[in-house]
Amino acid sequence: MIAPELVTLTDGAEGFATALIARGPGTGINRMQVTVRNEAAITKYGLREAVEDFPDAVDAADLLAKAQARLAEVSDPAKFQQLTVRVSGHTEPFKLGQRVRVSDGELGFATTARITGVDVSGEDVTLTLGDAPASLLDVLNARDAEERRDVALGLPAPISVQLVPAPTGVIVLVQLGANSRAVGVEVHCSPVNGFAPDVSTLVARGPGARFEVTGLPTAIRQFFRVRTYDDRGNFSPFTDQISTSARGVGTAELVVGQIDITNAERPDAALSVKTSAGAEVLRLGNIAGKAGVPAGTQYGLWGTAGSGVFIEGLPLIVHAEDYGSNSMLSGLVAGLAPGTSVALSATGSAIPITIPPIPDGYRMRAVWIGNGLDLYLRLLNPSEIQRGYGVPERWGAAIELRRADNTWSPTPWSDPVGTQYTALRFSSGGRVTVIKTTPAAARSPEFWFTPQGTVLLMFVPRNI
Amino acid sequence: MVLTARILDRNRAVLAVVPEAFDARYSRRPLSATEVMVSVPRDSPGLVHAVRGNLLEVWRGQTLEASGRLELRDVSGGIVTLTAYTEEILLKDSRLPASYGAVFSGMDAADVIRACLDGWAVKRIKTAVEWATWTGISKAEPVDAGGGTLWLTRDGSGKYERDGYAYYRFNSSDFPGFKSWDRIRWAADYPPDGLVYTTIQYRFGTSGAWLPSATWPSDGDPSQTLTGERGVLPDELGLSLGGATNAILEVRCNLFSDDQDSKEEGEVGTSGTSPRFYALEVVARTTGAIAVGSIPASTGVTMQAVNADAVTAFDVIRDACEQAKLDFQVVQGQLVVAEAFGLSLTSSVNLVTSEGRAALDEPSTIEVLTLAGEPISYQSEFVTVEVPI
Repeated sequence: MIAPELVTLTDGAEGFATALIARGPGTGINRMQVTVRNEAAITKYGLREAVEDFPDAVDAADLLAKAQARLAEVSDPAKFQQLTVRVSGHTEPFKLGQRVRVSDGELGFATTARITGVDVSGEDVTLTLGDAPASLLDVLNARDAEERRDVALGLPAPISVQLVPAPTGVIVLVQLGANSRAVGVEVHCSPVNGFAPDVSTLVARGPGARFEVTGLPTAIRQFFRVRTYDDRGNFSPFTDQISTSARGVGTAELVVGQIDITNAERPDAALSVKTSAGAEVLRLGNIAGKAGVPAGTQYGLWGTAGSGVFIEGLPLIVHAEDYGSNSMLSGLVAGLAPGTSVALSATGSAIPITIPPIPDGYRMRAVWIGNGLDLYLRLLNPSEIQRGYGVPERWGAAIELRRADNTWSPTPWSDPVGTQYTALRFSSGGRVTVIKTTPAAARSPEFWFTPQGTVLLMFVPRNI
Repeated sequence: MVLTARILDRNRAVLAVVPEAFDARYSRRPLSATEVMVSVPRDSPGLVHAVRGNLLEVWRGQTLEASGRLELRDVSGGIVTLTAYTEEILLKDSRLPASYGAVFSGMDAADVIRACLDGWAVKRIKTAVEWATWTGISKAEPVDAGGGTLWLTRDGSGKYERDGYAYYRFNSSDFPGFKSWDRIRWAADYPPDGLVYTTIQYRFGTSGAWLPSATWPSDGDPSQTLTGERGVLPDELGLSLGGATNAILEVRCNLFSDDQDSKEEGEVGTSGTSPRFYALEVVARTTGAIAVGSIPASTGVTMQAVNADAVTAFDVIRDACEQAKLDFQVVQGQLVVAEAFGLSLTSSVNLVTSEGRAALDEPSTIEVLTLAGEPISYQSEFVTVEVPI
């Protein structure tokens, strides 16, 4: 049996600094130098300068990056704390770099740390542990003795908690870690996101690994946190919260389909989630060749369009199309003098848009038009061509999209998947102010609307 | 006597008084920051303030026995051991600029010690990107060679210009804790037998005459008028700014060339030689954490061969005290420099062992004696000390 004893918990000082003077290659003042400061650490611990040479710094940016990385290390007090634990009864030799779990009920902490020193004397091994993830010494006086005793010595939280919706309830499945000395589990539940467990949120308590919480309203998300306790009344920390909703009686139920270990046995579905009606809504498996999956990707997770399943990691598709001067829209406005403000009554012509192939499960989310929409004022009488410039004050409904069947889409981002958009046009309703015409009189100016900007179309997975 | 530990913040405001302290241990050595340790129960109130950087005082009754800056905390069982280093450690927080020893060379040791109580902050222009941050420039350009340099530009015929400059602005607000301007230092070409020259000028503010306004002719043919400071040991001593406190300092790098025609072997289409600035540095003094307690007006010892290349103020003060045969202590934020501390006790204290007597006829072999924590000193009389058997 392993018998550990915490010997000391030390907050070291050697090498700690809150500002770093980083020097590049060279000597004297003829070398790059940058001073970096951790202002938060200076406020807390005072200014402590250290000097470090970085002879391999290639330029100022590199030196700065190296200095900042180094300062992050030397100004972090947690990097300088050290645990010393004496262990007896361990049969396998400890090795440098191994991580071990350390708990101390008196101090009220449980953490993991890396072995940085091993000293063996007969059956006893003294481990020096560093690289603990938090400032353990902050536990000093942070809790009173009673509270510290309530935090279990070596009693970890459950390693896994699963929620299974049931009719007007939720089944909570709890898995404890191997060799846990926990004798029971507390389950806390609340409809409040981020709730703090207390006696009012306790819904189940006792030994076992399966708890059924009943009487919950349907379609309201419930949040759960779980902790264990031992026979001395010590408690583990709570798990992070997870959530689900109780399902109603008779509604469609998601059931887990067959789970295969390898795709060789079931090449197209390692995990399949279906509704009770048999419709597959989620599948994990070999999806090589599925449109929308980046080249080279062999496995992934995707959902059926419209299933309501949120899919992470699927790429957005952004299509850019540049329109040059050959896609002009025109409207004739006569007799304009400088400073004249006119309304645009004409409607522009349609411009074809080449839509890229879009995979199943995607829809169009947004359309942008760049800033390069210039209005050119071309004078046709007399015959020499001169140009003035107008500035659009308002576009109103600036764009519309036409489907392949030549009907206009009122809300293009909600069109069904697979709708092909083939045209872009500018509607009436804009207004321009003429800045300059030369000469002002007896001319017949004509507006040419030239959308020279880039049009961007974004397509997203259907359920985003 | 009741032993208590007090925890103070860096401004010496008392954060906690821990009443049940025990096992106080400390030592004193000359020219050193030494450990002060005290143990307290782990559930002592106020222990949450025992964090790195705060100050620890150990009181025996109404007497301050030892103090220092908290550096270590050890928790073992129900006991927390606090370890501080005596306040001389605070002098290790301040770093001198690179190659700064020449500034102190020839100064009286007492002046050097006083000069080390303020901090330093440095802004350096070295890389081509930094050279390109000029405030004004004429016929000069940054070149990304040699780690970053400033050169003259060429004229339309490919010859280096006869003169050019770039100047740079430094705001005191960019130096944390700014107290005053210390000096300008630079590294540049100034070959004694060459035809290229560099000088430095400065001004406080964004307009007005550049200083120094000294002028002299160059050695070239035709010669031109050089202006500004050539400097001696410009990359170490540089140009002192006399402790000015103006908000803005502008520094101008002047480049001159009397060689427009020489050509390197195989050089076609261009000619001449340009001087180069390799680095420009402005050093400011910053407000220090230690005040002057008692430092002699002078020691009569002139500092020689001061090693001050990015070392700490502690290192320089220790070297100065060693050369002047002095000792120093920092007590409650004030630096005290003296040959010995405290009054002679020879007329009132005679330490007698139970086993016998040891007469010391060479007191200098013992550096510091303490009695109940108080340093004691001695004169030429013999002193009897208690010796463990």
